[in-house]
Amino acid sequence: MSAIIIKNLEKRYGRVVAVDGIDLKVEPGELVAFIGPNGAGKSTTLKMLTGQLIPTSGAIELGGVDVLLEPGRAREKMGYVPEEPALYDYLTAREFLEFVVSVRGEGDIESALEFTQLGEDADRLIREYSQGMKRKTALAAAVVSKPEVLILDEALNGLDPPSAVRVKRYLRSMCDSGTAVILSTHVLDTAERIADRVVMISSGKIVADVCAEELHGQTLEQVFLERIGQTDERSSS
Amino acid sequence: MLSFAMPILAVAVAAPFVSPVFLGASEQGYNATVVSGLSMRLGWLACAAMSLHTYTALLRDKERKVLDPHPAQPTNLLAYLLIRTAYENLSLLLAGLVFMWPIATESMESWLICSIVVTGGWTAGLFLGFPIHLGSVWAAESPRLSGLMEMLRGSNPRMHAALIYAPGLVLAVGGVSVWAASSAALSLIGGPGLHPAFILVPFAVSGLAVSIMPALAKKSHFRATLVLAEIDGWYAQLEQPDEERLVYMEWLAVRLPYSLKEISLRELRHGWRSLRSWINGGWLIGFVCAAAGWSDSPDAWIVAGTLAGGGMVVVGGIAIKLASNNPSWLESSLPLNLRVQSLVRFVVVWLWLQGVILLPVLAVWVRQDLVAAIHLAVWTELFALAIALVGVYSSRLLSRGWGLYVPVSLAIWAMSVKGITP
Repeated sequence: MSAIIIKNLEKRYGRVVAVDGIDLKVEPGELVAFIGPNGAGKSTTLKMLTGQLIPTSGAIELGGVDVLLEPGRAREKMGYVPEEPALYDYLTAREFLEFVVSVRGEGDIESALEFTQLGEDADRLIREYSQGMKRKTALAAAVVSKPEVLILDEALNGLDPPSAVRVKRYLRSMCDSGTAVILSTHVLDTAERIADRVVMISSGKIVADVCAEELHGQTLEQVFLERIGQTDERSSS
Repeated sequence: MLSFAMPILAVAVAAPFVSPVFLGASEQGYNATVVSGLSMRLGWLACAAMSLHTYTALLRDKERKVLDPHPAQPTNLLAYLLIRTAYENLSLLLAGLVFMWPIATESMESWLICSIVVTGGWTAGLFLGFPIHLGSVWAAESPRLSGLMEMLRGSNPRMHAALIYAPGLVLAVGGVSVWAASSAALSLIGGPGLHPAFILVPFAVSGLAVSIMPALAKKSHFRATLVLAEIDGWYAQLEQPDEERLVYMEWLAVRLPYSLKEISLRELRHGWRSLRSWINGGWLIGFVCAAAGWSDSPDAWIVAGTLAGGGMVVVGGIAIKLASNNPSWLESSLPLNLRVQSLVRFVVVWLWLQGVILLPVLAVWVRQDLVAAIHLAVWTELFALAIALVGVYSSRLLSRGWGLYVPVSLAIWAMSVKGITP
């Protein structure tokens, strides 16, 4: 069974089409990078995938659960880091993770803290954290209960290079143990280095869906510019 | 702790001065009808306030954003939100009971009976608020109700219609139950009214509401996020970039000399963009005062003026908010002439206070006569000048200014109300 199934997903705001008929399948253990220019529809797609936004049409299944019909069960199966994570400012990271574990019913706080390397900072109030530390806390909260599907919306933004490297390794290890990961990013290098597949989106449509081995010596940047350029030409003609 | 105690203390200070306006004491003591009428109005007020607080706690609280990615149990979450909302707004109930304390000095029994009515209004607002707001999420998505929502929506998105009218529905149901309770209270105090058992109607209605809460929570908690995102998306699409830049009363500053214009524009823009709810709230309070003044009673202008005074004490605090919100680096790197800045802030705050004044003056003029309206206008304008002055001087102490502003403005309010009460 696929970890994520998206069928003909569409989102319109009046005449504006934010997402235009996306079809996508992600298998367990697969790490998919979702890339595209600003305003391409990445975050809108991920918000629909996580049950934060109603699609105009289409269907989404997460671990075999319809996200819209069973939002509570879908949340049990996923870990999600939004683009701007919200946390309790007056808890420490450790207390926040304890809270998340109590909500989810299970989890390994120590290994989540170890992966984020918050160290002694885990016992400081979140309100005193830098942007990067807040993001690490949100990441730890998303992985603490080892979800079937992990959805990260620009989650590597604001992380220092060593942390980014560690997160990439951790994501890889999660995939190895069967978790499906979708990671939206605009950093092509990140996508190229860690993803099994790269899905490119532009103007709400998937313009390329390539595996790492399908690049045939081209860099992701070349493929990206080529495909984005093609869609721009198509839309202008 | 201070924010909990402050409204209670403020009401305790003001109640002895302003209660004659609302209770109309005579040599025979308080009239039973007036006393039960006051408890009914306070019950309604408590119900309306709790209805809005439950809306915020359930739908617009920042906690929703934190919890959204996680599979929180909707029933547990609802129980937590209910307890939190009750605790956070307990001071409102206590302030209402303290406000009626002058009744107790004459008859403790009457005060206790009225307290049951007010507590009933507060409880009904709390316990009806949660299921009705959850129900409004279901109604927003229901295909069967889409025709009705389309009719009601006005210029809002269809889904928003259900959410907009939900607080009104809470007040309508809670309000009827409070009316029944106050009528029962009247019969208990010694007047004609419903059977005394009706005093428990708001609690019975609350009990019924509690019984349907868990099912509604399971059905609507997660859906609420989706409905809110749709509504916000709809508004974002309509937003005009110019709209954000338009500032209330900015035209008044445009033709001023340069030295005044710069500071005036800064105050007007800062206030409108960061404290808009205070300014709009002034107009809302003005509307309530106008309703109080919409009466044939010769004392209606005094009631309207007393309420307007209380409203101006609240809105006048904007002077301190303005000063304390200003980044300190801005003040030190762009030093302004303190005297000019104070003068400008005084005028701007006085202008913003006009929202509280204009509507009740108009209401009194229409329902009574020009003389009563002039009395009210002169009294409220003088009061507005005094409040603006106290606000501006207090604002020099930044957020510590509340310590000066609250007691001084309340004392001015209490004394000036005593001055106009026959």
